[in-house]
Amino acid sequence: MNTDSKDEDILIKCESVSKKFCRDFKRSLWYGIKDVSLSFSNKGDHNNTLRKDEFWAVKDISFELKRGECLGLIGHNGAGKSTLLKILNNLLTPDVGQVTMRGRVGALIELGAGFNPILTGRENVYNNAAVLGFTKKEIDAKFDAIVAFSEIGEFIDSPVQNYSSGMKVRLGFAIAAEMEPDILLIDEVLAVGDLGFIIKCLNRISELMTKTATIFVSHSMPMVARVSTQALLMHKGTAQYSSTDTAQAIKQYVDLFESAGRINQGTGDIELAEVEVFNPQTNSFVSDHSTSLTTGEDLRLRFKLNIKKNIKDFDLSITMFDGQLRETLSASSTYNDKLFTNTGQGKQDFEVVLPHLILSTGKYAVTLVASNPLTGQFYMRVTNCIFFSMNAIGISWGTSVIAGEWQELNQQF
Amino acid sequence: MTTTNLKVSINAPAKTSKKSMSLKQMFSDLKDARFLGRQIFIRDTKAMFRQSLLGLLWAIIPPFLSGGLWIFLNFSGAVNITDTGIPYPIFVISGTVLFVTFTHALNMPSDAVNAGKSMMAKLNFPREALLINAFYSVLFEFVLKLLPLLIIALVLSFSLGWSALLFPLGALVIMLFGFSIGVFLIPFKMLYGDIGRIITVGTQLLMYATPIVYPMPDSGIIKTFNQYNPLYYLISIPRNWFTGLEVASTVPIWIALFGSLIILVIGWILYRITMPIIIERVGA
Repeated sequence: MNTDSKDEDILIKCESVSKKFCRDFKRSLWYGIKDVSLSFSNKGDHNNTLRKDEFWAVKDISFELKRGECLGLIGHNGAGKSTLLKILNNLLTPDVGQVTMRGRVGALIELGAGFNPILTGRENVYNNAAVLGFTKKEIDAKFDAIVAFSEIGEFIDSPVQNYSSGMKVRLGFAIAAEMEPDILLIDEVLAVGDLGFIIKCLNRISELMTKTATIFVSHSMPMVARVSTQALLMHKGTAQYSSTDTAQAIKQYVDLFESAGRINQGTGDIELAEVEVFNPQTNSFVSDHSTSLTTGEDLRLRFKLNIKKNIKDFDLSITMFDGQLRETLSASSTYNDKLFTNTGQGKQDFEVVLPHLILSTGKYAVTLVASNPLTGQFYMRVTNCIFFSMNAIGISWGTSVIAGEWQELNQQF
Repeated sequence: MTTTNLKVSINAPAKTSKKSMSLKQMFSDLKDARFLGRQIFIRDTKAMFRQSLLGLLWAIIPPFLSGGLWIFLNFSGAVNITDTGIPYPIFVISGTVLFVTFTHALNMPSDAVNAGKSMMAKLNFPREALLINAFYSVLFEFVLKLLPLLIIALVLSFSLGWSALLFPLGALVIMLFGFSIGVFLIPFKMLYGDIGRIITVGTQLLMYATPIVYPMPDSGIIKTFNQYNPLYYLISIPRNWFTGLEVASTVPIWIALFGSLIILVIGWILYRITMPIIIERVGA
């Protein structure tokens, strides 16, 4: 493979690409017709200005990608990722700027496009592969490899309508993976399928990626971190952050999430008055969601509770939820049999320290609970009472990340 | 792996229309689309037959039925049709086969494009494949409909002359005629549902206004109208070839052929220009 950084190695060149969409359907069509007629004449175009009801779906995106590189395209829903991908795939024409692509483009976007449910898997391999641009000869040559990869086995001669959704995705991926593209576009295709197959797919993608320039769109940050050599964070159509520092891009992506509002459940006998978290950067307690911790730092929470007279004593616990709402860490005063008693003053202050946090990178929501020690009934349960983000030392699939202490032994054990 | 000799494609504004109108590019895209077009046709046809008990019979039944209805009406005396010069069943069925082929050719392009709309919104494949699929489908259905016609001719021991061999060629012209108008109408039909309805109503009217189940009258409004109705020529000439009747002039066929080809090219260009916009804005 040619590793010299010549201009010819650049397979994708995206130069200040912008695309506008129109909110109003009829007006949108009218603009479309106008644009076409304008493109015949050379006079006046208003590609650069927004007309009524228009907005920039993609604004001023530029990057270059060489063979062997992978750009992780991240951003929230509606950030413009898919629109950009469609422009790259020549499905949409940009209003401003231009995209130059060299070589065959393979899109792992709509797996199994062209499948007809009534026909067998065997027949549909030909349908889907034809849509993807294979020739008959290529399909014949690759057919066995496709079936083997998909692990469909004898079901290849059953109608596709009898397949499970996982089987369909497997067959679709197996076909698409047999493409030998120079440019690979991947859009969130691995959402279905069991973990074993996802890993197999990722391995296959990694294999392909050494020979291609890849654009990888996903909401799964560990996947992005694993495959990308650089990342582009899109926000409302613009490039919010673009760098080879994928970890930083992922952190910024996580920070973009708006913190969800508090949800207060419980009997209301205890109420949360105030909550603060210690921010090591400013060396003070803050009540906003800006706190960011790195691996090994302590999480310190202070909170003030309003307690009604009728409560005698209570337990306290907190739970951490990550971006996928997985419960990643919980701490409870009951684990070491600590019981808090009502002093009758109405307001009481507490502090909890979770030492040496090793959670993986992401944004975490804290749920604070006060409960009846005997029945377990919630006096107070405040979901999303405060947020903090974690900046782990490495990106991984795990929910916790540590460096570990490694050494080579001097003698055999 | 060398990168230098790779195909370079540029996606930029304003150049699109010129690219879509270059004849060289159009035919090269058409060439690329052949395999996919055939594959889609095979897929749809296979699926259609796999989900039906009577299979091929369905292609044969409708012309038999509609033809049979007219034959019944005629023989029962409910309608009184003047002598056509040939056995009435052959006259009716050959006429309806041609007309049904025309309406099928008229509707198939937009039907095929509509069916492929969601695929178009997501994947980049030569768009001509959908048109190729539509044309194959029209051809295939015509061949199927030829069968009942031949069966009827056999049953009635009607002797076919050499000129009957010209019948498929004449049918090809009416197919092209319908197909080219169909291709031309695709963008309009996709934008406005009204167009499709107008076509449905219009073809029904045409079916009765054109001498298909009855011979051309010697005088009157029908005659005046049909002198300017291309469908009259496109149906009566191939029918006369099939039945061995005299054909006064083949000029209308040639005019229709060239007219169709011109409309087809214009419609094709229009399709290439408007499709990206429609897909972009209508989506899937």
